[in-house]
Amino acid sequence: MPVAGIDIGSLSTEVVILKKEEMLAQVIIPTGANSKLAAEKAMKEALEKSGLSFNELGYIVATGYGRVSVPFANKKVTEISCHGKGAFFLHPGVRTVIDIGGQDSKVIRLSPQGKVIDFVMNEKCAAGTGRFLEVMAHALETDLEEMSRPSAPSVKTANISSMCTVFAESEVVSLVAEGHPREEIIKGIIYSVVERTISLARRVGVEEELMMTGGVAKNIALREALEKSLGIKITVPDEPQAVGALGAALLAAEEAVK
Amino acid sequence: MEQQAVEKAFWERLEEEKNKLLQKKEKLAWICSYTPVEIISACKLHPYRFPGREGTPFSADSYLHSSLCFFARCSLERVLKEAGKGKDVLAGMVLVNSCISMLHFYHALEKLGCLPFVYLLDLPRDNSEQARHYYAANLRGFHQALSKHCGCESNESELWEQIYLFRENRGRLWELYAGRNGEVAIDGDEIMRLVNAFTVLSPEKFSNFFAVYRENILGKRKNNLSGPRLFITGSFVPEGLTGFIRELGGVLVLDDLCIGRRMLQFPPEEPDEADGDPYSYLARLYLGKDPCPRMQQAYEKLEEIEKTLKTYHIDGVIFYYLKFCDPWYYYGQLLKEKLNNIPLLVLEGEHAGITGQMRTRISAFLEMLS
Amino acid sequence: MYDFIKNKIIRGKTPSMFRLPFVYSLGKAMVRCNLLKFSYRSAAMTVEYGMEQIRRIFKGRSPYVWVSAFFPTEFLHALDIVSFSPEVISALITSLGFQNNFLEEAESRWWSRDNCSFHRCAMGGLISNFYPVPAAFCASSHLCEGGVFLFNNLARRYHRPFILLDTPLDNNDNSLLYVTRQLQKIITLLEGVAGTRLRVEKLEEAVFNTEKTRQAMLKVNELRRHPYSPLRSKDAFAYLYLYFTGMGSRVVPGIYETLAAELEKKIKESQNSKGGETSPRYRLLWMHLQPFYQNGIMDYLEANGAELVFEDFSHVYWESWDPGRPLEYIANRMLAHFNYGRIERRIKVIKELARRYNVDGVIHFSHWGCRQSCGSLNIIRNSLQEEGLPFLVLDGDCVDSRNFASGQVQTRIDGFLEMLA
Repeated sequence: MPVAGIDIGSLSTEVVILKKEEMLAQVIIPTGANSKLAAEKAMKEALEKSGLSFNELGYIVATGYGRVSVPFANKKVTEISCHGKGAFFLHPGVRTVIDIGGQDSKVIRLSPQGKVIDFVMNEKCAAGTGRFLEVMAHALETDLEEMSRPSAPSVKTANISSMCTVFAESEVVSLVAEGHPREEIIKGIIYSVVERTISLARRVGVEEELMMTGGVAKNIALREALEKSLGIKITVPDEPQAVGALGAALLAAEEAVK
Repeated sequence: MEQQAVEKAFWERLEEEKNKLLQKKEKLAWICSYTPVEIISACKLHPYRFPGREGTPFSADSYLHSSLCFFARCSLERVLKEAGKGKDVLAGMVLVNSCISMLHFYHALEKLGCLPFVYLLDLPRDNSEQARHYYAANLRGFHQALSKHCGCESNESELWEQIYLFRENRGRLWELYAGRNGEVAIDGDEIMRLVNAFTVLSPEKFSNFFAVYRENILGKRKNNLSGPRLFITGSFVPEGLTGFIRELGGVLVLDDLCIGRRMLQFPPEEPDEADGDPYSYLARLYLGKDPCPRMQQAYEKLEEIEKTLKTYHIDGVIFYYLKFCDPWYYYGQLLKEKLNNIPLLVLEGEHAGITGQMRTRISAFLEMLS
Repeated sequence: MYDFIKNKIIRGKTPSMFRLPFVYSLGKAMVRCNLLKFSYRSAAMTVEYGMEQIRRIFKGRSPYVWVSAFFPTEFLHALDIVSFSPEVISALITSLGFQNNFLEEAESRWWSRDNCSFHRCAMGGLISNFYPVPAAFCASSHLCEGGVFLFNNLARRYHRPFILLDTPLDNNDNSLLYVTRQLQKIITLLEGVAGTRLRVEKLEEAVFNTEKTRQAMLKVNELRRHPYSPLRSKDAFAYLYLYFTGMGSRVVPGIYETLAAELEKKIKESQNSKGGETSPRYRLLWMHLQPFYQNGIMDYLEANGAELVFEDFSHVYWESWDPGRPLEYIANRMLAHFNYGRIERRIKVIKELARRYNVDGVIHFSHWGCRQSCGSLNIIRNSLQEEGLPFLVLDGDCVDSRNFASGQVQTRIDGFLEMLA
């Protein structure tokens, strides 16, 4: 029986439809202002892709911030469990998952059986999250693509000392005004997210293998910097954003056979 | 012109000496101005004021909560960075339980175990007889623990010797504060740089430097400085702040800083070996200084503040405090209210150097006063 | 428990009615006549006790002082001085829903949101003349350091004595001597406030009351270990007022004894009724205080099978001592607090409580601005990890609901519950 997982994040919404661990459809759309509408739209698209009708779905698990606003879900599970589940499914060797999403970053520790044994999340503010990168890109009048390009090792790292998104933004603006090269500033921004992430990861401890999920995992510069700082290789799945939805779908499959 | 070259050479040599220290191994780091440096010296270790760090405490935040003051977090960051590089340049660190951030900093250092010796010295909040008695016993305990760690006897006559040595140096610097209610020929920034040297160099090295300073610089200063006369107070001011004020033409006449004037105070009467034990003397010395706002009597000096500022003909006050520093925050709230007739600039910092915004505000403040 | 008062009485009224002493007389009468519903008789007694204290403050006949958490209130009871705990009153005001009036009042006078909101709220109430100016500000430096500075500041501002108990870090003979000597000085200062001399037998009686309270609390805590014990953290917070200001009072031992009797009865009833209450899926330990505005955290946990069976503040942390030597008894109590001083002591107690109450996990509510409780949480996390005890930190604010992000809190709780499963 086909099942679905849906992950409604602050920036994007993903749906995965599975049938016996085979992926029938995967959809990623921006969440926009109304998470309920986004959920309905993503689900509709995924059903069209898979050629199924809604009634054929045996079980639906919703996750992400918008999980509470999915009326058609059978069960709601946090993105912590879902990212753990999805990451372990893709790579059974994974013991640590770093998920940097739109407004949250989290580090999840898994047991050899794939069970979540500990997790930490960022404190209230958005520093070190996808939202932080977006705000900084905006301050630099650039896009996330440029932010993601790895810079040459010779490029210096501008010092972004402020811990707060709002102050860091004004710091970036003054660095621009002082004539610092853009690539140095970008490197500084990436560095500050990396350091924050590591600070979070140390609280639960990092054990290999490490997988990175969430939209920010696509940022190559950041991933490379993180690998360098931690001294371990990081696995990134093809669609890091969809790992949460995949995990949700896997949980749905477990529920469906109960 | 020639005099300028002499002065430049002096400060450069001082910087060099300070840099050499970075590699020296027998340093025992301290942070709070209530630390009995004499005891460290008596154990044949070099008391070295830990400079903290200018930057962002990312790694430290794995251990300390982000609502703690930046000084504690940045200091831990620096310890971690140096330990991470495999550098063994500190013999250890002694912290004073002067505020809740220092206590948590101690917990982190102790748990991490990256320094060979870590000690927490409890400091009373009062300067009563009971408090001095209590502190003296703690000082004795510290001396014993450090001696034991160093594998030496805790030697009281050695301690007396260090007491005299440090007292002399404090006295020399204290003299620079004389007569500052009138025209001043040396700026507070210069005094700060000397006090800074006093907190990192060995007492012998410092007295050598000071002799050169007195001979070649102080004795030759003739012209008085002109510009708005300033008073600075608050928690650990970032390095370069007083220099920046000087560059803009402000004259720093007086300070109420722990790594500043308060570092130099000592009981007026001669210490008398026959008359008591060194620990009671040190307890009197440290608890008798002008109090830090964490002390019970700290607020009493606020009653006098306007009078003091008038005596020193102060045109403006600069108050710097670290974000999340409770003792200075609550003190500053009252300070603001007490200063009715004197312009006040309040700077809130994250121990991250002098930011662009801070520069603008200081410049505007000085423009306003000139 | 305040829901009834809140819904039936306060709606549409201004906070100023709470300045009228007769409101509290009326409140007490309503409690006594069972017009207000409480799940525990002892909780009603606590409210009655609290109302009487507050009534006396607004009545203005007896001297009243502000006390910070854990100041030795035995002296105050012995001298008949009314004590006012700004933390508990802020909590009360928050549960009644008008804390923002005071927070905004303080903020409009440049009191920063980086600091503890219990204090900001209390201070807002004082500067807006909601509370009468107290006769003195009495602080103890253990645990809450911000309170010491706030009191020193307010004492200066209102030209009232600042009475400080400087609590040393370690519990040893040198510390004991220092505290005992300070207590003597504090007595003299408080005699000045009360305008009378402290009679030795009064002090002995007060300390004896503390000892009786201690014994009754131990009885309650022992009963709470029982699988059928119905008392949960959210109900236990109702007794906060006693914990902060009731030590030394002659009423308080009776309240805890009543609670113990009530618990004993309820446990027996549960055992006798078929099957009794089903035991929870997860038993949890709560650390630090809770948000006092509507937040639903505890109800949500309960609805998901996780029961908060104990909270660290209810732990009886001091050993028995001869009440006939009152100053030493108090000094020992002061030095024994597990949350103060070196972190090992705190970790040891958390682990001990986790074992005693057989919990599956620990939740720490991090009140923004409380540097004492939050400072070393990551060290605590590591220590609990070693014991295999899951630990969740909820960042929030007990008073300032603007610092509460319900979505974030819910995700963390859900993730924690999924992890326990």
